[in-house]
Amino acid sequence: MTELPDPVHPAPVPAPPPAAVTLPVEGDLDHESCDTLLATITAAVSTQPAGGVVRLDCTAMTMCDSMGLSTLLQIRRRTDAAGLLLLIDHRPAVLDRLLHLTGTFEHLVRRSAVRDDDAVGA
Amino acid sequence: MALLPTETPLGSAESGLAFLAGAPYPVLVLAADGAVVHGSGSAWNLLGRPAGAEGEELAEVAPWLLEAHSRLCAAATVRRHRPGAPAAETAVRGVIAGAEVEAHPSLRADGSVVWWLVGDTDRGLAAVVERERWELLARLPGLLLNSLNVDRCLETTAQQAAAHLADAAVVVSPHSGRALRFVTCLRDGPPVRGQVRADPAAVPGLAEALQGFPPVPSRWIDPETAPNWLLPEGLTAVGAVSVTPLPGHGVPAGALVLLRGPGHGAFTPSEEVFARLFAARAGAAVSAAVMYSEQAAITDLLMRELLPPRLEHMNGADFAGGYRASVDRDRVGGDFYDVHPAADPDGETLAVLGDVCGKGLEAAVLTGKIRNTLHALLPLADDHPRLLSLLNRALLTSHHTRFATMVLASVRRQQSRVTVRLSAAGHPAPLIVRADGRVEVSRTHGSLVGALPETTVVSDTVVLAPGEACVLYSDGVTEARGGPLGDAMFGEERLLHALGECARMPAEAIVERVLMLASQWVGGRRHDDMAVMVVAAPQGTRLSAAGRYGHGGFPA
Repeated sequence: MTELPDPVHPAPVPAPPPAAVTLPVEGDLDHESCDTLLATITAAVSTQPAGGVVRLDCTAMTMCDSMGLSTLLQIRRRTDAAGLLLLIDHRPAVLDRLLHLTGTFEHLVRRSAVRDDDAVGA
Repeated sequence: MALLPTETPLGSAESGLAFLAGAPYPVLVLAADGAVVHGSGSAWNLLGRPAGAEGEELAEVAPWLLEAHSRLCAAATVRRHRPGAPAAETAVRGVIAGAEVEAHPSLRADGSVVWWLVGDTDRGLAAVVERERWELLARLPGLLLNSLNVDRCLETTAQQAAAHLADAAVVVSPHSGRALRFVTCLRDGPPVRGQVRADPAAVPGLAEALQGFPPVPSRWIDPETAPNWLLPEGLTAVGAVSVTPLPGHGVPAGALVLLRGPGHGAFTPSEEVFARLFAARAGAAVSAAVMYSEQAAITDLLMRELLPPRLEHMNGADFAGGYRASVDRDRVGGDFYDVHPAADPDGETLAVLGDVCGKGLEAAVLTGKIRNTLHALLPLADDHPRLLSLLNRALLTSHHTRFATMVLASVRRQQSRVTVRLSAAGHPAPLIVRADGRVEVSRTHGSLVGALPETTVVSDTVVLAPGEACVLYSDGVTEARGGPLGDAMFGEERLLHALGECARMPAEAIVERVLMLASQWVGGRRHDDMAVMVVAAPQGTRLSAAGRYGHGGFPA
C-alpha cells in the first residue's frame, strides 16, 4: 500500500512575515509625554492586523519614570488585546534598570522575546 | 492773541436773544471780546458750568472754542475794512467734557457771534462710556483673580458692578443651599455679606438666573416687587432691577442683580448687554475660585488622611519615618508609609513604605486604596508573597495601569535582636546599617503591584543587633537631582556612604540625616516626594527598660 499525501493538509508554505510598525520613543518618557505616546501607539495598534508586530525604538529615550513605565504596561495591554506582539528595542540602560527593579522586565521584554522567536520562526 | 475791543455796544442785545431758549441745539452767544452774552440751558449743561459763568470759565472748559471765536472776530474785522476778504464762518470741532462737539458760528451785525454747539454729544458721551466699559472688562479678570477665594471674588464682583453698572449691586452665591447667600454693595460703598431664608423666585428672574437661564429684560421686572433683603442699606427705593446669571464652567456661578434708584428708568438693552459681558467674566472668575477652593479642600482632606503616622518605639523596636513632599504645590504626594503594630508584644509589627505611580488625586485615591487593603490583609502578613498577590488582585483594574511599588517589613523582637522580614515589590531594596558602619543592601526583590496579572517576590530576612538599623526609602531620595552642577542624581552610592556614617545612631536621627542630605543635594530645585523609614534595634540601654514586655516571661 502506498501512503498518499493527505490532500486535506497540503505541505506548509512559509507564512508571510508579520506586518510590523516601528515607533520611536524619544527623550524623557514621563508624566508629560506619556499621554502622547499612548495616543500614538493606540492609533498605530488600531491599524495593525492581529499577529502583527509593534516595535518601540527606544534608542533616543533619555529617561523613564513611573508614569512612563505605567504607559509601557498600558501599551502592552493594548497590544495583547489586539493580538499584537510588542517589542521594546534598543533599551537604554536606565530603562532596563527600571524594568529589573520593578520586576516588569519579564513581563515587558522576556515574554515578548520568546514570542518573537516563535513568530519569526528562526 | 489779544481779543479785539468791542466795537458795538451790546446794550439790550440780550433781551433780543430770548428766542434762543427754544433752539434745538445748545447755543452760546459770545461778544467779540469773548465775554459770554448768552448761553442756553443746554449749553451750560454741556459745559458742565452753572448758568451765567464767565468767559474765563469757558476758556477752561473749551479753549478751542474761544480760539476759534477770536480768529473769527479778527477775520470779521478784516473783512469789514476789506470787503473782498474770505469769509471765515466755518464750523470747528473740539471736545467738551469728553464729548466731541461741532461748533457752528453765525456772525451778528453787532460783532457778537452765535455759536451753535451741535453734538455729537450723545455719540461722544457714548464713546466715553464705551471706552470705560471695555477698560473695566479688561481690568476685571485681574481684579477678580487676585485671590482665588470665592467670597472675595463675589465681593469684588459686587463692588465693581455697583461702581460701574448701577447704583447698587447684589451678587447671589451659587450653591446657596436652603438659605440664599449674597453680597450687597452700594456704589462706592463697602461690600456687605448677608444671607436670608427666602425663595429666590421672589425676585423675578432670580431663580432662573441661579439655574443659568438667560436674563429677563429689565423692563419686564417690576421694581416694586424687589424684596427688602435685596436692598443694600442706604438704598430705600428701587427704580429698576436687572437680573443676570453669572455663567460658570458648565454650572451657574450665581447671579448678579443690578439696582437703580428711582427716577432713572429701566436698564437699557445696551446696559443689559454690557451687564452680561461683565457677568460672563465675573462668572468665570467665581467658578474658577469655586473649583480651586473645592480642589484645595479635597487635597487638604486627602493630605490629612494620608499624613504619615507618628512613629515611635513599638514592641521592642524603634520606628522613625520622615517625608518631604514634592515642591509642586497642590499635588498630593505619591509616597506613603504606615506601621501596623502587632496585636500582642511578641507578634510581628508590619511596616510598609511605598510609592504610588503618578501624582495628584488619582495617586491619592490609589494610595488610600492600598493602605486600606493592606490594613484588611494584616492577618495574612506572615506570608508576604500571598499578601502582595492579594493586594495586586485588589488593585488590578482594566481602566489603567497605575501601580505602586513598596517594601513590606515584618518586624519582631527576639531577645536583644530584631528580626526583619523584608519584601520589596518593585521597590528599591532596603539598606541595612550595621553597628560597625558597614551598609548592606537587602537581597529582596519582586514585581510591582497593581498592573501585572501576577506578582513575584523574593523575601529576605535580616537580623539587627542592638544599634543596627534597616532603612526603607523611596526612589525620590536616590533620584533627587541636584549637586554642584544641578543635574546629578543623589544616587545609591551617596546614600550608602551617608548611611555608613549613621552607625549606632537612633532611628529618628538616621531619618533626619538622610532627608537633610537629600534636601541639601536638591537645593531649591524641584524634586519628587522623598520618604524614609527606619527600623532600628534599640541600643543596650533600652533593653533594661523593656521590662514592660515581660512579666517575668520575657527573657531579657
